[in-house]
Amino acid sequence: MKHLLLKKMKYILLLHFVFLSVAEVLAQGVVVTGKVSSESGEGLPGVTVLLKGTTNGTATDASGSYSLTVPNSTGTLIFSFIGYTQQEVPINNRTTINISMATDAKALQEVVVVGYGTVEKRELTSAVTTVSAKDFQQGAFNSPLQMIEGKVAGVTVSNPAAADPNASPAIQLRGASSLTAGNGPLIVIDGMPGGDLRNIAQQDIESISVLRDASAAAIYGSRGANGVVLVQTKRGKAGKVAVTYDSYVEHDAIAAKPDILSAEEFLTRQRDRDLGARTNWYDELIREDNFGQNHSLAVSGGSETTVFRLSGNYRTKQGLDIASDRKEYGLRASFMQTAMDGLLEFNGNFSYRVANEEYTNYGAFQQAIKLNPTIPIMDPTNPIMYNTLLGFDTFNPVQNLLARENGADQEYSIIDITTRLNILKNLNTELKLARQGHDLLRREYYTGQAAESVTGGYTGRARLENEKWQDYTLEWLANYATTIGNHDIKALGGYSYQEFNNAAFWAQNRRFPTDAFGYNNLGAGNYGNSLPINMNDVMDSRRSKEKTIAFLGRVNYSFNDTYFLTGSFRYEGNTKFGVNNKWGLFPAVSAAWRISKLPVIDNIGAIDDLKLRVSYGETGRSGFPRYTSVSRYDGYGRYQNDAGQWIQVYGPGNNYNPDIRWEKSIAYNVGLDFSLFNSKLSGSIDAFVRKSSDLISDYSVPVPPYLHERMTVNVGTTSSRGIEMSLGATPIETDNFSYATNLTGSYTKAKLDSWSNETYKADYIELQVNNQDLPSPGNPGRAYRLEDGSLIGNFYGYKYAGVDENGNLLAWKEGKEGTEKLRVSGNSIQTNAGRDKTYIGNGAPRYELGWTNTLRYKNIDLSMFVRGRFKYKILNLYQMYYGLQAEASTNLLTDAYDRNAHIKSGKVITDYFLEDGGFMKLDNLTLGWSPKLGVNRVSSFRVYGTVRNVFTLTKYTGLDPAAVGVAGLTPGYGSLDVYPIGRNFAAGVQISF
Amino acid sequence: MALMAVAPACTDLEEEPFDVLLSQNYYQDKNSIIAAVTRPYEHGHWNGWDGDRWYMSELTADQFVWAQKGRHGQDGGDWVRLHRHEWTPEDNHINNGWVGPYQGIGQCNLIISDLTNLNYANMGLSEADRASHIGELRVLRAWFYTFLIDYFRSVPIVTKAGEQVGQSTPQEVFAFIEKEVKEALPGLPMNGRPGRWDQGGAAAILVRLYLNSEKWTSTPRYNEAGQYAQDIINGKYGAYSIDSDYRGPFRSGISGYRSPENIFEFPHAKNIYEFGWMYNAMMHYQARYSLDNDWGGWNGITLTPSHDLEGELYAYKLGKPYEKYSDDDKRKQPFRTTGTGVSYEGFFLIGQQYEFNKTKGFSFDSTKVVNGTEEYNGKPLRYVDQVGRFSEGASGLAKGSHVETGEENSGVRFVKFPWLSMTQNLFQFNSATEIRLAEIYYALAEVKYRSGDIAGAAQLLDAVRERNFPEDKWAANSYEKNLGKLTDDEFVDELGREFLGERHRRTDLVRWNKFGDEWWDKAKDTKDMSVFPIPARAINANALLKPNGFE
Repeated sequence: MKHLLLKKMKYILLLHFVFLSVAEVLAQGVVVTGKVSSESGEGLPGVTVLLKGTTNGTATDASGSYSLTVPNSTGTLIFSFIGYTQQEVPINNRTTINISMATDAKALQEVVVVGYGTVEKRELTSAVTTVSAKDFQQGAFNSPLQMIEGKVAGVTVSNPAAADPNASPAIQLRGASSLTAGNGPLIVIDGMPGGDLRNIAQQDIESISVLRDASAAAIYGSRGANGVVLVQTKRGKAGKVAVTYDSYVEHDAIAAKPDILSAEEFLTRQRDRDLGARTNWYDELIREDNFGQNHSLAVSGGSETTVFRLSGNYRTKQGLDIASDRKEYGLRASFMQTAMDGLLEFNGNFSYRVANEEYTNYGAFQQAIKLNPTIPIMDPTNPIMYNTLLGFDTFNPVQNLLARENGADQEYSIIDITTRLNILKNLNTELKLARQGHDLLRREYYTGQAAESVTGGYTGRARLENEKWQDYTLEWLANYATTIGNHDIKALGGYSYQEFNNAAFWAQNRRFPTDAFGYNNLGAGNYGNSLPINMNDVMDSRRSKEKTIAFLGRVNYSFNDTYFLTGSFRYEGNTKFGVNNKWGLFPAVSAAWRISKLPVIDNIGAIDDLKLRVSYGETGRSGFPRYTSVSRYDGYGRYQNDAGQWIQVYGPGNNYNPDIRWEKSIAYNVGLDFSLFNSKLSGSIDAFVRKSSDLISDYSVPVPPYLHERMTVNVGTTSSRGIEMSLGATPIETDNFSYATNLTGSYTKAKLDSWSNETYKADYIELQVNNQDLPSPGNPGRAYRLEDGSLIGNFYGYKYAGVDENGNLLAWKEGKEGTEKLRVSGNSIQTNAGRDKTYIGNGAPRYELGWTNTLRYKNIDLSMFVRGRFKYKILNLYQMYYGLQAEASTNLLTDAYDRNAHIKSGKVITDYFLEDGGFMKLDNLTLGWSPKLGVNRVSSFRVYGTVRNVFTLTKYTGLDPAAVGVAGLTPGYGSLDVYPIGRNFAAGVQISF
Repeated sequence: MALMAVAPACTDLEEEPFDVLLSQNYYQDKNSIIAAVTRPYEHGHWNGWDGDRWYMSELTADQFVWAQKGRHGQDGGDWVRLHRHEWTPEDNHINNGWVGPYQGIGQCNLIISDLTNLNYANMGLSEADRASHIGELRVLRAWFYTFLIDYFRSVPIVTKAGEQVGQSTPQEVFAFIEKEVKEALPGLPMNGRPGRWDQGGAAAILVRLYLNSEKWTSTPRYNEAGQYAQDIINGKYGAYSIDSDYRGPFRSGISGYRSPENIFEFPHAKNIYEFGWMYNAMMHYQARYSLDNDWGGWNGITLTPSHDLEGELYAYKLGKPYEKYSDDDKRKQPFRTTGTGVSYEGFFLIGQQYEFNKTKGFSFDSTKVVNGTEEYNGKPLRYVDQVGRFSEGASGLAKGSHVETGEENSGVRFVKFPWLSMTQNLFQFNSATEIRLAEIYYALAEVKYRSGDIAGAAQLLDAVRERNFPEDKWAANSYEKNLGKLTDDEFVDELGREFLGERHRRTDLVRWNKFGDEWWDKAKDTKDMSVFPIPARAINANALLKPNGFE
């Protein structure tokens, strides 16, 4: 805890250094030196030492020592450090003053990173949670966001392919609200909005703050409606140079496999002919001996005027399948330099990162389930070639993954430099300039062995695509703070300019003389085999740009440390918005009342702190494509011109809508923070309502008068409401043994309130998943539907009423149980979709739970993280597609002849295929050992082992309910394309010098 | 916010286009005008020959069906509803029969208005060019309206971009189309480029309009249909002649051939604008091996079956399209290439399929059988003129012969638009024949037939039909020589044979009052289904629209 605090205090301390250095120069006289230590005797760096009544002061160095020149020996020194009781010590003619500082339970307040600044947690008026590095989940992760899974109430981290090293989880706060403008939060890295988390190694992160409510997020305006995640990277500290080495190795084992018919069962069941081989397609796609490693080395240190931190990181990870692979490495440097006696301050970060990725194809795992297990992998007549399989949606998955190279080389960089001018002790202004770059080279080569080459009769197809993103940020801020009596006022004002550029081009060719070139010699191919080709088939390029500009401000006011009020605004515009609606105002107000200041409560010994918060905020969502709001002429297909040449035709490209603007979200939050029993139990409860209106929708409009059937308009309202709770307790804390537990829980309900306005009307929307209906064969249609008042994630289909004597599925008439049973599959279908379909379940978890337990005995630590999701359904497509005997000639789940044996006809969307998705999972088990090595130079040493995805309790019959996406508008979609489920083992070491 | 006034550059939010064209900057020169004039044509091509309009005109009639083939083609029951006349105003396909033409109309409206306001001289073009561009767009727009009056009768007449209006009566819509075409016709060229409206094309639209007037507006105007048809045949609107070869009109476009019979055809070219929908919707996944190309196909649409599960010819009057052809008819032969180049015979794929003979460069290699991939996975693929679950044996046959009970080999495949060798660069160059002179001959024949001049009708029909028969078989098949054969039913059968798959059938059956009759797996209609209901989506979104009474 202390170390954590030290890290967190750095910004405030830096500020102090600046002011104190100014004073120091002026001083002459007696030198007082000494050492400040904690109760346990360790030196405390960064403690402010101030001569009372003056601005003359200094701060302790890394070992806790200080030296201060005072005019004479009669004054009093004030030692202060956040989290410790301030002490006043008269000098009394001494030249050496050593003191020990005691922790201050009440003052033990964390600093919380908020938009454009930090506040002490006790002053916080909105729902913000900060998770610092020491509380991160341990183990091997693909994305830093996985490290806060279960740590922040109301945050859903949805991770369908956890074992794919190139997959990132989706993150969602407080339920899904938007139809098309995105439901992911805004990421802000070191103050730069729109940051890309792929820029950062997990070991470089100091803390992750989640701005959950709108009053906190409103300062990010039109991008804040899905919440904001603020990531702070680690900084150096003044004092001795510290070196930290942090590394682990990891391995994924298969945790769950689909239970399909063996080749013998397949033949016994007469699914199809025996083609001679005995192939376990699923096993063929698994890389049993996969291995990963991650090494990070960081050096940090500095003086009062300069601090730096340098870190390097190297990671490799093989996928759990035979195709995926990832290698990444990066460097990061941060520095702080003061100049002109603290009047000027420079802060900066440089990072550069490279990732080499090799991709898999999730569809291959679907093939592995459905393919006839007697098909040989290699061509029986020519064993050096793969067995190319023909037929609708049928391919050889081994060939698909291996007869190709399909990957990308990515480069990420961030440069950000902030110059701060400390005009007065309580007035400063700063200018931030930042550039974030991302360069992608997609490279694909399908060899002469690939199915498309074999059927197309050529050798190889190569494709390269280069895409660049360049984001520029300029932000100019001014901060002012003052105290008048019991009134504390802080004010912030600023201007923000951001520009996002994107450009890409690609080219492809095929029919190469040899496979030897791969994608390295595009010109060597003969795409059309000397026949005319369409240039769009071999090359293209694109470029776009977006700007967002804002003016922002915030005032924090507090009275007597009891009443707190925060007001903020952002006035923001975006190039994407229609000419009639370029700018919007996003205000927020929040207030808090420290009830524990009431004498009647203050006198209750058990209550250390009790604070009530209320907030209101307006935010926006603007994740729609660029150039949507302008009137365009677009190129379409080809036609012959007057000379008989084929030209591309051009015509009106869109239904012009100059009114398009951001989605507006208004949210209210009420929260209670509490700390009880000498802080042994603390936590908070929040309740919220968030209403999103003017949803950016791709709306069906009448033709005529419109030209196109769809138009991007602002229509519709969604709302989400919920309760979030987090509890932290330390029931036992002795020298040798401690037990801490942390529980987060949330209840969320999101619904579509309305889907029409005066101009645009619609009764309902049926949603596709990934822009597709439920897959062929059979085209069962769309499984999700929204209409006014329906919950987001509602499944729409027939109500299962058993089967008839021929095994055809039956459904209840009008979706009402107990009425007439109608045949819904097979011949002579009796159901009528319009009449008999109904809402049959919901795929969005109503409750989410995260529970962390940490035990420490002497130098051994053990942590267990359990998480769960409850009260939701999963549409199990595995059961629907491969759990029914009617599916022609494919392999099937054993369930087809077992629990589903009574069904003899084909699939229909019914609640029979909806399963309870609820689960509890021991998701992380970590055992660590931190022996005192007795080596002088080693300041800390720890080895640990982590197992992730240890076991799951669930009724879901699919592979893993946690592998089913629950974020967005189509939660609970138990896809056919499931990446193998892994159980991850990691062993690591952390050494600091 | 005060800064905004001070520093406009810091608050500039105008969109900067790079790879998009803003409308206000679009027209720069002659090329941009032509690219805009041809945009609604390109849409019209799609509208006529890609999917829904074809489905509405052919899958609701007696000659074609998209049978469910095992696990494929159930498609939410869409094909069953079209085939059995059980559609509802919510049907997607019917909605697209509304939206497709109206999008074309909207494009014409907008571009006509653009062209009216442009300075043609500055673009290197003359006022005559302007008149001719606007003229052909008016005819194109009228052609789009013929879909609407045919499908829905009472529809809004929209002539300005963005205009929202209520419905006009069928008579008003008819009069609008008639007026537009008649006004524009004289300014059009004669025998223009393929795919562009000229005098012949415009006059042919009038023939279609007058021929169907009785059904569309309750006022018969057969005489005017006959007059325009006679004028076209006489060459008043350009030089056309019946192709001497039965394949000619459908191989137009391949290797530079243009059939003199085709009054309006939409050109195709491989990789540029392909006749992709027609191939995909009709060809089996494995057809590429017998036809020598690298395409996939959806194995969807086939001819309706002529035979029941026992192999007996169905008793229905309508349908049975394959067996409606005489065995003497050259068109009935199984399709096969007979030499390299554009050299082939037959309009259908039936029976066992064999791989293309790559060694010879034409015909089939009878030693290489093409196999199926579904019910006949690894077994020979043999198309049959029946629909049933033969692969499942007796239990499969017990399910009967229905739209729902097909399998992968069900149905005779339609290759009137020939799919020739891709290796030889002959694949996907054949035009879609929108209007050909034969239709004008048949229209005039119909007018004469209706007026009682059976002999005159027979003569006109025979003028087209003679090419379909070997000389020695002609006498037996000629109507002129067997005048008694030419009855109402025969006339309807003959329309079906001649225009099979050319998007005529529903309109023809409606005009002959046979659209409600029974045929394979379709009972007699219990109410008038000859007009489609105004789509629910259109009514839902436009308060001025009222249902047309065919819900």
